[in-house]
Amino acid sequence: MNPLTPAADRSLDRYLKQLRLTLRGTSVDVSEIETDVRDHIEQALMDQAHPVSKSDLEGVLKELGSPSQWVPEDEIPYLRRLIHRIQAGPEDWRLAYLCFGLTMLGIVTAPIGGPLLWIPAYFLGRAAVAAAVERDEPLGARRWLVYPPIVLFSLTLTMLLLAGPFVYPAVAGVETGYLDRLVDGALWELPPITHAATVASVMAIAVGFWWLLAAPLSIPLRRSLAALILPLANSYRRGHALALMAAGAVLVVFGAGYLYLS
Amino acid sequence: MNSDFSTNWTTQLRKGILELCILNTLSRERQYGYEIVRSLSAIDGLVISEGTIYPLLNRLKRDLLVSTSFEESSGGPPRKYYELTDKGREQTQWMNEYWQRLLLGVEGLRTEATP
Repeated sequence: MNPLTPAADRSLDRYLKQLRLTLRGTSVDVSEIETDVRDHIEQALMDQAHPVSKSDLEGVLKELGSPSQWVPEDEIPYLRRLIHRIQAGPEDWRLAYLCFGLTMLGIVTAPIGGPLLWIPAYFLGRAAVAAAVERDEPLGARRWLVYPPIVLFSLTLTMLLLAGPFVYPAVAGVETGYLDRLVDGALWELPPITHAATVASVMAIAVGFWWLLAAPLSIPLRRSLAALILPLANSYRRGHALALMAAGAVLVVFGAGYLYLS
Repeated sequence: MNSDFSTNWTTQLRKGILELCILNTLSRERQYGYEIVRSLSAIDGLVISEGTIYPLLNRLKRDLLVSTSFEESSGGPPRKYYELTDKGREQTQWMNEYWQRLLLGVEGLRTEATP
């Protein structure tokens, strides 16, 4: 090989490393192609002044092109293709892959708080959707990577919002026996079915009160809700809020009625 | 004109033609890699990345259509020459005939379509 300047030498090393990485696992003989490419570079630089400068070398490498263009994409192993897409693909594909990757990681690491990763995954998914909208192009195949985290996060948030803050003290009240003490220890003496119905009535009252309170508040906030809970709250209207209030009232009446009568 | 469509179309078209061109280049005489690349690069629009030729040569060798041999060169290291095998010659002849039929058919269509 013609003598190279240190900068050109480093540049050649990087290129050959990329060549080996890209072609490994495909149907071609990597070492033979590396030898061919070295010979090609040697021939191309034969008439250049020595030592060969980085810019002269890069002119030849540019003509050779990126090794990733040399083999059909379907020959490259799937995992490497995936990594390459994340590294070099269009930004909106990178967002989609990262979004889906975080969601999967959240599921795998669920016992150690993995679902918290669904929050960044949700925002990455929203960014991918926004990027597609800005370019006025359909999401296409990316929707399979982007929608699951968005729907997962939105469903979780919807469930938490519907359950409301009153349910948790009610659950805690049953768990800690506080509720039992309120009714002079009678709760645990009830037959199992009656006990379950009593607890359900307490929950119904708690949820019902929350819906009665939250539904009117949700009307002025419906744009924010629609933006946050995509796509579930897209069509949330005043009528839905009224229906939620009515459902809350029914829950309170039934819950209180059962407790009163029993 | 749809640029994405044009890019895809030319890429697909080049893929198959490149192998035919390599085999035809070698049917005249044996050549070393750099020489093959230079011959093909002279055809406008055929070679976008010169490096593409080397994996193709490697596959042709694996399929026993070409063979390699080393020969000392006057001004540098030994050169690796590629040449057609007998199987490669037969394959080239078959591909040329196929190409000719295809060309005639497509040309006929184009002539009919031209007002």
